[in-house]
Amino acid sequence: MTGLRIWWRLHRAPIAILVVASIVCGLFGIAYAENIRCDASLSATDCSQFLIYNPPSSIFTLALAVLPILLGVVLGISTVGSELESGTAAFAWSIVGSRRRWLAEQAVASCVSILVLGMLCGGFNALIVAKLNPGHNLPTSFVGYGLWGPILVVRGLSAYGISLAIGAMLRRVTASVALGLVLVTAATIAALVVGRSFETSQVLASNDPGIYDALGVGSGIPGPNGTFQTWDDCVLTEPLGLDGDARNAWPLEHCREVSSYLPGSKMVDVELRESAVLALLGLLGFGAALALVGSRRP
Amino acid sequence: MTSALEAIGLSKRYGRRTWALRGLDISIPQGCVVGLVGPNGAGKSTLLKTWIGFEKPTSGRALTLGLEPWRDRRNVLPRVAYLAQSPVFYRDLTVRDHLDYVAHYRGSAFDKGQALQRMSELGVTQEAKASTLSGGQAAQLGLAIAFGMQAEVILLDEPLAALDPLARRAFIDVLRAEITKSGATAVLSSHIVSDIERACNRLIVLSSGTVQIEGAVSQLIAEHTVVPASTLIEGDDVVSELPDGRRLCRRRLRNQRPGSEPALEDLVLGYLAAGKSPQ
Repeated sequence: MTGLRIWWRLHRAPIAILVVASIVCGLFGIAYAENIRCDASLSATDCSQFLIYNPPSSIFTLALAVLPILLGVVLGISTVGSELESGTAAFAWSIVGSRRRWLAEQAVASCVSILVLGMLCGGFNALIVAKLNPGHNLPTSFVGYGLWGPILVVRGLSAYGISLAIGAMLRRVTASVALGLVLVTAATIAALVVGRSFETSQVLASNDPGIYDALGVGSGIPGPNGTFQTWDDCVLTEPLGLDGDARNAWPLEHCREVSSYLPGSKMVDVELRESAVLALLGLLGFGAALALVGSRRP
Repeated sequence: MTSALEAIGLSKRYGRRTWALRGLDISIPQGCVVGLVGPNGAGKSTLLKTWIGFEKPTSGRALTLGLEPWRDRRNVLPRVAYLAQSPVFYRDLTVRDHLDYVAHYRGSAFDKGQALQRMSELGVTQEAKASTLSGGQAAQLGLAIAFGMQAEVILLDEPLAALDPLARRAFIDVLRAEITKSGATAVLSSHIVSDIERACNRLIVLSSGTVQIEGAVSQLIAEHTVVPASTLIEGDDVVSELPDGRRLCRRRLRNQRPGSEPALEDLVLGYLAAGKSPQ
């Protein structure tokens, strides 16, 4: 308990600030989602788009999605990087018998705080997204994908592992924060891409009811073998012998752009795959930090 | 007598070309209080850091209580206390938090009560934050922690550098009293020869990463003499010229010529000058 109490005293400021920020964003977001209504003139589709993309709710949900990542970066860099920069590592590492035990204790406490903040933000965002999208079953829908649920916890933990390694490597807080944010953003994007890249997309018609729960993954002109092709390639496939109006009408009819989607039922698979990539990157960061801490000169 | 600290052909290089230590051979018996003197960049901090396992030797061996600290930190650190140059504590933690922190990792080997008592004797409250401590109080906190750990070896890396004379005196008084009581081995690195003279019974002079002289202070003084330049004759083993023009020589001079016992400062200055321009 002593270790935990001292860890809390050292890191309470950023944690308290981010928890308060998440509560403020969550409460304002829920209140806003509770009261916002579509204009009667909007169609159901336009209303759905309006509710999810209108600026105030976007700001709240986006902030809530980013806060666990920020906490991961801040705690990751302050655990080793700021200790090395300020010189307190010389005190700490001359006291502890095992630097790895010391790092493990810090990491457990940090991960618990990221878990709590991630669940808080993920929970708030689930409520906001559900209120803005009534009638959708969120666990089988890509509505608000990536903004709510356990993926926020995984992103925060991954950011922590990556930032831990960067802080231990660079030994400077400002440089570590800058590089940490870049790498964490890159890791998040890479995980997003990998998460959906192993699924087969479907072309859905704009009037297909499943489209509201689906995730758009691409658009183009359908070609042979289920691939997309360019307009010029499509026009080249025009049959011989057409002339006049028939020839003008053919491309408009056969080279129409369509969109492909992942159906909502794939949401859990995509999220699990994305989480696995993030967890792997986070663990790699943590492993690198363990190795660096063992050999670093305080 | 068993050595508490040893360096055997110890060298440390930073980067490709910068040698901080060059082939040091040092043996410090248990129970000694050693003054480690040398100019900036002489390698004092590096030597202390190799003895606590913060630096990996480039070649040779550093031994602390017979163990190699770089390889065996787990067994060395519980027996060693290290007070860094300008001791850096956690700004937002109180004195009590720091002692709790040490107690958390050192367990029952750390006498927190003794350390708390020492700080209260100095008029520092337990709830004082580290950021509010003066340089002297911070150094005393470091010393209280070091002695609370009941370490067998205490490495003090220029803890006096930023202190005023009164704080330095208080620090040395505590150091001497505690060392006498505990029988620990201590190495005190400092620029200030008068502090070394008051605190230490053994001396190491380092310059450009090499040992210029090492031994018991009383023996080193007995083995040297200072003579006016005009009385030098062929064959005198001159160490160097002192700032006042006299010469520091090894061993008694032949022919019963007059010579005086060197002050510790003369000895240190003479060997530092010799380290810069060997004669």
